[in-house]
Amino acid sequence: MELLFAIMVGTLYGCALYLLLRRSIVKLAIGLILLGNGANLLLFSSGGLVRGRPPLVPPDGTVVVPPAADPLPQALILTAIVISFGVLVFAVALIYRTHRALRTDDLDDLVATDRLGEVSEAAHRPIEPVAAGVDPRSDGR
Amino acid sequence: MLLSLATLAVLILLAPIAVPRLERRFGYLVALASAASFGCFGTRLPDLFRDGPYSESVPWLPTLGSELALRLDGLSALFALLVTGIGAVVALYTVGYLEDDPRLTRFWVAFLLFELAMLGLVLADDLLVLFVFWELTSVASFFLIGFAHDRPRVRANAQQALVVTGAGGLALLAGFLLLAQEAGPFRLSELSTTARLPVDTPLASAAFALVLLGAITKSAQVPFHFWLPNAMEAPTPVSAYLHSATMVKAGIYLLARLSPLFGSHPWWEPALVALGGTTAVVGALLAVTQRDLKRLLAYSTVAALGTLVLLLGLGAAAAKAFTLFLLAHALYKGGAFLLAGAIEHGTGQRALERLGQLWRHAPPLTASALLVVLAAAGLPPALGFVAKEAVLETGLRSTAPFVTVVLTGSFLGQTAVAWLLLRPFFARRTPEPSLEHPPHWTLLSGPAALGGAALVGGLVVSWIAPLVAAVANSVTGAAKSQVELALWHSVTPVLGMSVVILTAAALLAIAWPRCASLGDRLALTEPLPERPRGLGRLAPERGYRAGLEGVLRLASVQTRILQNGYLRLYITVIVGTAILLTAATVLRTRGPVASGLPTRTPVDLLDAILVLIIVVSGFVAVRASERLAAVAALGALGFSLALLYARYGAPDLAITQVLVDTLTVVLLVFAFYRLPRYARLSSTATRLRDAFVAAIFGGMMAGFTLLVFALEPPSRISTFFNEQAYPAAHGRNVVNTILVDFRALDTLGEITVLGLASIGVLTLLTYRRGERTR
Repeated sequence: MELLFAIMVGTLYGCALYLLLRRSIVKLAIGLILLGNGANLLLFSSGGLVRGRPPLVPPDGTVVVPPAADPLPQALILTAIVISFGVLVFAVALIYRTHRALRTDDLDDLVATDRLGEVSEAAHRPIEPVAAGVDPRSDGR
Repeated sequence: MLLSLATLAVLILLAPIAVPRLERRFGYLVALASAASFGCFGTRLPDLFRDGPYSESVPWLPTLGSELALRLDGLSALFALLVTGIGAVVALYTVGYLEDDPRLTRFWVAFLLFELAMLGLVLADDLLVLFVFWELTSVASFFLIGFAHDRPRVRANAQQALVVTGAGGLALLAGFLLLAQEAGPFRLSELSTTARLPVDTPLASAAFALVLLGAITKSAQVPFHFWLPNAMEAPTPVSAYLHSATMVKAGIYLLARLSPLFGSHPWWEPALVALGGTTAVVGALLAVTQRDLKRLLAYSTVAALGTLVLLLGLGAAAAKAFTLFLLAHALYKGGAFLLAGAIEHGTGQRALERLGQLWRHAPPLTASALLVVLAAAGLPPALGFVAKEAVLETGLRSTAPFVTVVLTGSFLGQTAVAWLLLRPFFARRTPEPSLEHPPHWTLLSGPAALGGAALVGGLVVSWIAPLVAAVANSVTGAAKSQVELALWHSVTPVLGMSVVILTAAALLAIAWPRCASLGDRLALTEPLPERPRGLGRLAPERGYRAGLEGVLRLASVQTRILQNGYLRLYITVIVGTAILLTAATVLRTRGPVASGLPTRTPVDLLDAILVLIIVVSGFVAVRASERLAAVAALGALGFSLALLYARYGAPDLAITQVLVDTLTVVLLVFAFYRLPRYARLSSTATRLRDAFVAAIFGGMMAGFTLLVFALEPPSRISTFFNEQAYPAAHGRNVVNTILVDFRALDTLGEITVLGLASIGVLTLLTYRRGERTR
């Protein structure tokens, strides 16, 4: 079973990386989800596999009776699942706004502001309408 | 000592509130505070002469073994008197010079910061404290030079001064650290008295070279002298204070302070004599060919600084001459700068050939000018005369004859500059430049005070003798010594040389128009242009410019390579680095992967089917050509994962995964409806390359997972939770107790992250202003 888990983790990471390397901005979001799942599974594996024995204190005792699944990775993953969901929602909202503003699905169209000394005209294209008579490239001085 | 520093610090904090109310009158306050400090240091002198050095300290950075330790000995006292005394005069002068400039607040903050830093620098007894103050003077100098920051030239020159002195400061820090490692304590007093540096180790030599580099950049020695004339863009009070009397002497101070330690180093004498001698001659030559009054004085200051370094290089025999010349130069050169500022303020003119006949218009200014010129030229009653005698005598006594030649040449240039200061007042000139308004009394008092002090210094030279002796003790490291000083020595060869220098310098000053046109022809009179010609082609400043351009070009090239704006390249670099490092580690250690595949848990058919669904869904999500297909695959993947979690003892995970996965699918279905359709944007080659990288990465992570399985699971932390969940947290679900009890703060952080994300989403979705109507 351990081998199968390893293959599963590797597949999820590989697929996620492939999607992250795509230029399409939507695929980036799907890649993020896969990456989150892969990371959670890796974390889960770090506690070892114990089938069918959750870490619960039995009603008649005060301590968990081993063998039981490791509670610590589970607690970590719980946090991770929720946070990656928050990140995903933010990313999707950001992608939505970017798409609405710039009308592009191609990440390569978004590089202009990142590059030194060769900022193209397009990067200065104002997103919001400019009042008449004001040069959009001037910064107010 | 601490009180003086504290007073200045309080004034700095007070300045932003007080200057707008008091306006120019704040200058009187600064002058008063400086004068009070001057008085304090002055009254300390008798105790100092009788009981020796005096220390104060406050703990600071105890882990580094560093304290805010201050120490007043002869050398510190001399510098502290100069800093506070000239500071008071210059502050008073500034009242009349800047008048009601709108940038007064900024000026006074920087000025006070400088005074504080300079005073701290000369009083510091701890290497690190000294370094901090050293850097502070560079920073304050940057703001003061860049005072008129709306002119590009001013900004460039301020930056140049900061880069040159700042780079020297870095060298100095490295030198100090080496020094502390080699010689032990951070205390200067211990370094120069008890600790003796083993002179022949490479570490000691490196420390010396680095400290020397720091000192000569600060004190504008050739080839780093160029920043000083360029710094003349500063307001004139700043030039007088920082760039002739105090800050440029910080390097001299440091060398003098460390001379007991480094003086026996075999490089000390050759390095200092060569650097100082070159600077003394080059500065003098450049000075007499200038047309601009302030640049003239700046180059003459360079020559004087070179003379001082040369004298330090000559060792203990020159200590008396060094002290006298240091004191005399600070007084008369400060006065000369203030005089130049008063002339410029009155006439709006700084070019020497356009000035003349001012004595008719401003008799009081002429009177103070005469004081300054007599002091600067070194005529008999002046302190400069005594100093010059002492320096020349030292030169004659030294074994190398060229020292005398160098000193004579340098004095010739410096004295000619002094005589040239008479030109604006007496040279015939048509049309006569007019004085726009009579100078404010504060403008007259500055040059008069400093020039007068330098002039009468020679008369009371016997009073100065104990101070000179104390300074000489600090420089040589001797315990106690006596110095006899007199104004008149009877007729000696040195007197003859003095007379010759005075006469020759006067002739040189009369022939100045020829010198200046020679300077024009060699392209020396103007600041270095973009395309240097004449001797400007040899200027060391070109090296500075080339270095600066090189750094900028390197920065932009490497930024363009590393910061290219393509997310996928960033990811490739990060992942590639991770893969390479992992591969290298695995190959080097041959980790437990080689010991066989772990098969602790038997394969279960249902689990295997779930794993298969997950793997297939992953590939479907990648290969899907429709957005909805990808979302459906993600849903299948998430629910299978939840089932797996449930079967492997994690019901809480399963519940959360189901909930979040449902929400994700719903979100994506809604959002993707508004997002663009899939497009195929990459070429097949790119896709194959990415697939290759992804496959390697996936393989690596699979191997990593196997490695994790092969390791013995770390049980200690979980054992604690398993045992304490019920007794301590009163919960039977261990995972829940961890989340809400043992690690509750983490959960709070998680909630915060979610809150922030929702604020961000809300902002993004409700931000309507940027919408374009289409």
